[in-house]
Amino acid sequence: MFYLTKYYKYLIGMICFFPALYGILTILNGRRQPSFKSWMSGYHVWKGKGIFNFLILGVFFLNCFLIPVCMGQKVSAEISLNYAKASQGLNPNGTRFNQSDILSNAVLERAIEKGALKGVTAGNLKSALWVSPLVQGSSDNENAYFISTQFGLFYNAKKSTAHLNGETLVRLVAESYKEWFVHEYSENVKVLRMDFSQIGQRDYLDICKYLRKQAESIGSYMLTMSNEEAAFQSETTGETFQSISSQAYSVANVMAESLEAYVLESGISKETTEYVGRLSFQNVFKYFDAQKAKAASENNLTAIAMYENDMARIVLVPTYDINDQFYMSQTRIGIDDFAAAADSYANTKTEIHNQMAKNDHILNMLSKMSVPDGTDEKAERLIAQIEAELNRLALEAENLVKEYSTQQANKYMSIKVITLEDQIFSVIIKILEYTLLFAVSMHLCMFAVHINKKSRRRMS
Amino acid sequence: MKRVIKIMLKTLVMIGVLSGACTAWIIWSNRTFGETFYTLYSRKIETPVRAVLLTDLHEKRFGENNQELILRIGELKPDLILIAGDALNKMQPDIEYVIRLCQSLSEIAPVYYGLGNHENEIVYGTDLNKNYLESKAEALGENQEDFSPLIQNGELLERLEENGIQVVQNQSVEALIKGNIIEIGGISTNLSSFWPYSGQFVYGFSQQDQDNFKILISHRPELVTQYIAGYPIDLVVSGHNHGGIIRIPGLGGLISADGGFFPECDEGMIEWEEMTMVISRGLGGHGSVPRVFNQPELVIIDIN
Repeated sequence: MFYLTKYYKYLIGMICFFPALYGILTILNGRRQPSFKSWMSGYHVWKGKGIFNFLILGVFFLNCFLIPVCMGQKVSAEISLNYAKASQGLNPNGTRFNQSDILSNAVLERAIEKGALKGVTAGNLKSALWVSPLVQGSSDNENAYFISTQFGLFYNAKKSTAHLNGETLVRLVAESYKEWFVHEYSENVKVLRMDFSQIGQRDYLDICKYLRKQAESIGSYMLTMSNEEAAFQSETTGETFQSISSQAYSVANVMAESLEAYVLESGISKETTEYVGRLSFQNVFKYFDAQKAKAASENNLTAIAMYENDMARIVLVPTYDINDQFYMSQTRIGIDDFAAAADSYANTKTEIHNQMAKNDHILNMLSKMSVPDGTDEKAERLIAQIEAELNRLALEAENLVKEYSTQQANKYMSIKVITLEDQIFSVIIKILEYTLLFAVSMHLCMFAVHINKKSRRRMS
Repeated sequence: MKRVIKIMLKTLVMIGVLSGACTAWIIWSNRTFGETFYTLYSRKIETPVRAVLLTDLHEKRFGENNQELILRIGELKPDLILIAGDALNKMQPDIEYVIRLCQSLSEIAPVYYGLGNHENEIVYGTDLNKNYLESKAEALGENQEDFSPLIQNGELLERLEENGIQVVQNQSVEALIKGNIIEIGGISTNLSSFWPYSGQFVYGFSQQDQDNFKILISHRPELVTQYIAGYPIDLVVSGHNHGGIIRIPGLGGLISADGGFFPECDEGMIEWEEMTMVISRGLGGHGSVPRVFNQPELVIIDIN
């Protein structure tokens, strides 16, 4: 049955070909005869051709059954990406979009599991499916070049997949891809999973840094989300990405800062000697780094002094703006690079000096206070408070991202499976085409038989 | 005269062959069922849930004791099974049929049963029309949405309850499915009687516990589009129209179950801001008109 439906059009073509050829050759041969016109006069389409017309009707009904089955073995779906970054060839999270993911093993296996498809493997499906961009610009011309955001998923039944319903299969694969896509690219909330399990082993000032970093990572993630959709608000809590970001930065700038201030003021440490040794060691290396930055900055300043008079001060480049208006653009020159590098090294040096000064202050406080080593009750309480607040914020942020992702999930991608019902006109046209082809070839053959009969009668 | 008889005979043979082929095809296409998969996304769902929807079986059998249907549903591994009414025929109902089916289904996943107009006729002796309900105002008392005083034949409901099948009639139940709290409600009133005989329940159902995912089984889809379209009910499942019984390719269903032509809600998924409605073409049929171009449909809904 599979081969019959797959090669039906060739079969009907072959069946039509020989009678039509016989008919055409006979007619061409007969045209040379002077009595051709008289042969034509005796031919009737209906009269005496009951069986042939019945055969044509039979083929029509066969077409009505087989052509929809044939077309059902070739199904397609349109997958449209509906988010802003799609036109840049990117996923919602900024990574590169890859159309081959649509037919990845993960997606196909998900489709098989989702549809409980029997007797088929991901490999079988892969051999019967392919993907291609639906709208593609030309790379010859910059204006005509663009990245497709619409992809076609095409299915052409193979022997191993012939027992499956093409429409259901394509829908399953497209929906599985959508689920996989949403899961893969829009719910990356790993950064929001707080882990405080190792925090007890750190010293207080390290804990302060760690907590501040955790708070800043929540704040920064929420700011990124806010840039994507600033107006999004949780239906349940009323929070926005911006509001959670502000709360996270406030934990970093107020709560973590207070903890650090308390630790410094009290001069507390779990292992003072070890911590003092570590900071002193750090300061030695920081001193070397500061010296290097200072030297590099001075080198650049010397270079400026040496070449200033010989180098061009301004270079103007004729160019056009986005409105195609001509203007002279000022471009960076060597002396600018020297100046920028000198400035950057000077800033680095100042920053390192600041860190060293801070470390010195800590060392001074730790040695001055001479508090016994071990845990401090108030510090532990403050840490617990910050941890609790960060856990709360992380959970709220995760829920908000999930809520946003769910809301966006339907918008990221739209899927349209082209069903047989959508193609009804082409089905009807194909049925009529094939039937007409058969009818014409049959009548050509009949007409040839009619001519030959007349010719023989005349001869006798 | 002979010629006329010959032509008539030929025509009759042609019509006979044609009708035979069509009948064979219709019978074949009605003996099997197709599957339609829908996917919807909700923030209220933590772990994906799969629901299978069966509607309008009308005592139809796919294999002995519906083994083909049950086997396939088992393979699809649903987390809950929804029956949206008309599993029985109002004339000479075979209650054993539905009990056996539900017993087998409940071994796969919990079954939630919403009544259809045929069950209404079996249980209450009539479909729940407004005129009928108004005439029974005294029996109903203050709670107009509790139809238990009107029950004439409680066997179906009792047997379903005995077998652990949750029947939802103007009420909702809370189910914990794969860590998700899902509320499932059901109504079986029609356009005339929806208000006030189901409306208050539906309104309350839509407003309570907005964090829980809500499913409403409404056998008739028209009252949803007319009265409660867009209510905060996450999913509504319906049937009733049998996909329009005869489907005209390109135009959709031809006849509605209530006798109208070209029903609006014959199949598919309709989405509003906060509500999604899935209408099944159903699995069976009744009456003299066969399903044409309308294969029985098993609906699978994945909620992510």
